[in-house]
Amino acid sequence: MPDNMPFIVAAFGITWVVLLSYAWHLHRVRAEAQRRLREATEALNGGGRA
Amino acid sequence: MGVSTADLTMASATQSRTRGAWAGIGIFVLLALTQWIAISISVPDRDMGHLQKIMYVHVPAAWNMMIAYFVVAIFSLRYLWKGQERDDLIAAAAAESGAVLTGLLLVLGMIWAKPTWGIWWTWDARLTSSAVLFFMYVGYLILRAFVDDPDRRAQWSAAVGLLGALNVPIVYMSVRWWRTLHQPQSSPSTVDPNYVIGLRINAIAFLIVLIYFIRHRYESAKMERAADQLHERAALATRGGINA
Amino acid sequence: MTWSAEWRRVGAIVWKDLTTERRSKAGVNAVAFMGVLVLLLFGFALGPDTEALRRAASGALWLAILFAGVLAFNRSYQLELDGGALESLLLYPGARWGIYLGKLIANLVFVLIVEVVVVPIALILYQVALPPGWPALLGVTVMGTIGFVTLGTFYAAMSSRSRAREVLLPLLLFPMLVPVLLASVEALTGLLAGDPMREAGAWVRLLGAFDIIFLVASLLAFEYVIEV
Repeated sequence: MPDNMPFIVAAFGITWVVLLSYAWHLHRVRAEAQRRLREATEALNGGGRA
Repeated sequence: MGVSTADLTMASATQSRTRGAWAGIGIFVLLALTQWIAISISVPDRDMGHLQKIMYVHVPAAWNMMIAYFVVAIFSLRYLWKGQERDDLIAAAAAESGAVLTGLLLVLGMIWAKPTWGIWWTWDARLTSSAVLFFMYVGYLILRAFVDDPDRRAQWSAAVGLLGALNVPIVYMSVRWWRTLHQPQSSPSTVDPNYVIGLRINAIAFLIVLIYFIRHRYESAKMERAADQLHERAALATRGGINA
Repeated sequence: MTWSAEWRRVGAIVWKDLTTERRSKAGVNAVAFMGVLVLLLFGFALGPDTEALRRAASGALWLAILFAGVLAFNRSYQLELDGGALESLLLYPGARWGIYLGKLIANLVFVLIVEVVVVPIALILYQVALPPGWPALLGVTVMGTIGFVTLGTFYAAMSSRSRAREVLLPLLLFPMLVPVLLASVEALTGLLAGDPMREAGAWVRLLGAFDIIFLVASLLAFEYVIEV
């Protein structure tokens, strides 16, 4: 059992938490951007028809 | 015509989204793999013992942080030169990813410092200048958040990104001098050849993660801009209809 | 546009800004007062121990200059914006760097006037005796101030026209000023301790390099910042 195990686990754990949560954040941002783009497209189409 | 290009953007966006998600999973599996390889092939260090393994996340984060800021500087310069919105969005995406990596780096530095020197923070030249860098690029991102006009935001943040990049070597040098005047530099331990291969593959895995982040962020930003432009056009079309 | 015309323009902007300042006077007084207040607060924070105060003197002085001076830069553009004068200023023919240089010199004079008040009070409050080589001390302070004002004038051109300008300017400016702060404080500490310029010399060179690099970079980049 290495002496500094908690620190090593913390370092790798935090790395994964930070990277994965940023990736998740990016995923959400992308979904939001897509939703806005779809809405904008529909608004433009609807406006054209009306 | 505008509608059809928007539809096209939508279709490709949906497609690339599923592809992007799979790429993301693959990239993180690769990162886990390189970490596992590096950990399993490295023997405990003479001085640091198993603590050395933190190096496999700390050093790649540091290297890739510098790469991210280099990308910010290059694309800021390119934006001022050519004035294409694309370059501005890439610089912004790189700044955000770079800030995430720097934040991670600072926390890892503290985790490293505690068992090594018995303190959470040391005014080591590299750690301290990373903290300054972190604040410089957080400032860049906050500036972007506070400016609404896209042209203004692009020009201003390009100038801020360039001046910040110019300052990076000056900050590092000044902090190093300041440190050496007060107390001896913390031993810059030369890296054992055993660890080099582990470091290299992890740095490459981190680089792939960074590229994935920048691309992802850039594509979202591009979609947001496209949506804004469509909204503007829709507003104009409505007004035209009323007048007619 | 000839060079002499550009310089006349710079001179006109400096004169205009300084006249506005001189007529109101409120700006200089308020900022100088703020600087002294920061000095006083640092004194309280550090405790009445003379030795500790003396050691921290140059650091406290520079932080007082930074915290007070940063209030001046937004003002310099704010006065233009309130009257809608920036647009007309931009309409005049001539290079953009002239506007920047004019503002820079006006701000420099402003901060130097504030320092004329703050520095002697810092020497008294922190019980620092002037060393024989005090002209060198003045030189270091002026060089540090040039670096501070160069970036301050540049970033204020952006922050003054954005939302939340009060917090944005220090947020952008202070991290960039770390080399100026370190070099000025170290050189000043060295000189006050009667350092025979061995350490201070390197810091002064760093300050000089910083001033030149960012003066040139700001002059070149100002055009992009002010036009939009």
